[in-house]
Amino acid sequence: MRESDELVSAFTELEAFVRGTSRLPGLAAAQSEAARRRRGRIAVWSAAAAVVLVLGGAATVVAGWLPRSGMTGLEPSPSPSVTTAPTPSPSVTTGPVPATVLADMTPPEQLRNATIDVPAFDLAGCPSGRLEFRDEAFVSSVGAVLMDAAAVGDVDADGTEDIVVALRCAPGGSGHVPSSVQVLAYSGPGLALLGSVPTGGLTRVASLLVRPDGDVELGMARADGVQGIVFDRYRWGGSGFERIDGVDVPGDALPVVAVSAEPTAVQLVPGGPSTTIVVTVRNEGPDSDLPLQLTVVGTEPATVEVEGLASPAVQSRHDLVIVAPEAGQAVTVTLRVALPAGATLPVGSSVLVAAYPTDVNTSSFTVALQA
Amino acid sequence: MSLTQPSGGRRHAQRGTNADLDEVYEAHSTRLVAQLYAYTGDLALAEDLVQEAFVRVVPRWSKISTYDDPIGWIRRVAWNLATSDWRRARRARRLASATREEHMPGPSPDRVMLVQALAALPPVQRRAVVMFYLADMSLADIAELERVSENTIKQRLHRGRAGLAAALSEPRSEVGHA
Repeated sequence: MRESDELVSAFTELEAFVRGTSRLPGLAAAQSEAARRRRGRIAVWSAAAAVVLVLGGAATVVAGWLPRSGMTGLEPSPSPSVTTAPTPSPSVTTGPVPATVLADMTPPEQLRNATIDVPAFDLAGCPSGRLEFRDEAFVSSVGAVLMDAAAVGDVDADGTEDIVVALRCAPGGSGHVPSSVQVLAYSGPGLALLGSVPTGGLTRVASLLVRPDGDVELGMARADGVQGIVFDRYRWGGSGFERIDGVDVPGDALPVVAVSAEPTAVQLVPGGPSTTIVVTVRNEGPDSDLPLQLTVVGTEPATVEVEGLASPAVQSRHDLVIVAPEAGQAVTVTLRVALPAGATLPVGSSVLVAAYPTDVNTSSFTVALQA
Repeated sequence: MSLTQPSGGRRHAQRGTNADLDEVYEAHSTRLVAQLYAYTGDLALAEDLVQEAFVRVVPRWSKISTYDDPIGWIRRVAWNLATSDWRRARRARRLASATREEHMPGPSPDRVMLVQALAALPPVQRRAVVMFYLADMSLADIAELERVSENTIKQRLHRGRAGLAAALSEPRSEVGHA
């Protein structure tokens, strides 16, 4: 490719043209705009500036071992009044139906700023030992460890909930330093290390949840770099986790999704500004019933509650796992977002909703909030 | 935080500062504009995309700066914007208000040909070509970003290059009118 001198020359000329012509406003302008959005228009949207959907699997996989209805994932305290999503009908459905929310991968509050024992990563330059996390991150002179995802459930069947977390090590340095991920389980109020999920060579988590029966289900990028996602299921055996099942979903089996969103008017209530955003996810590909990662990202802490899942944590990012629609159909996810009392009314705010099924098929949508 | 690792082996020790981000902006923003110009064929839009990407990076920089490849993250944001409804909405607003920058010099025939030839490529081929030639990304890096295999990227580059070669070899009068 690089021997194509004519092409190289053409691109060089194009880049030179841009260097001589482009007049970017500068970083100060970007900072000013970011501050303006933070102060006013995007104030609530400090709560949910973006919704990102990441593909997690395919229909044939999910149908096998992810419940398609009534799955309450990791609700901390199951209640008789828990709402269960309707079971998708095999007949043709004309309109979107509520998505089944499987899990919230957002690290719970007790973990976000906890001090926990972290075993050594299989990568040089990674901190380990007893690490003190702040806002889901441990940063030191030798590198950083970040909480990529977490799930709550009783994995060791002792009657109390445990936390399973995917920790990613970023040893630092410029360029493309490889990262390493390990999935660990912590138990009890002191978050004692229970065990490590033997994933082996994991570099990215696509989905993570604890089933009601305590099994850990993990979706991850293929270790060989080929497009596709591997779903593995692990079970606590008394002294460690064992892999009991797994499915490899090739890239060409990954469906295509399109996302749109619509907010209701922002309401001023005694507790602070709040709004509801209905996100619609349509499966435009040939495959059905994939688990999707739905991430709500913001710049300011806010309460985000999702129908069917108790997710009251006050923080700036929420990661959910939902069951995607069947091919050609759509599901909706209703997000209720609230800012603390005294926050600015976000008149004219905009919300970006984006879908990242495989990065090749990216879909996004921007909506404006109305007072 | 330093984005280039000094000889002393300093890593991502601290969270990023505004000074760090300023360095990143100075070093990479124009290159990003060039890449997105090649992809979209619209310089003003490319500038908007890059600026919007940095607007979104600013409040998250303390965390993004700890990532393995913060520049890659910014690039991905800009590219995602380029393939999103944000891009279409921005383009529509620009067309509606007819605010095309006046400071831009007239395009040269060569550049017109290249941009037009790029526009004729399928988006996946265009992305691969632009990332390879303008972003200086390796096949492995492009494959990682696109979440496909290196062989797929090789294929896209091969086809993209063939498409560009065919278009650029056409008589100039057919595409260039400047």
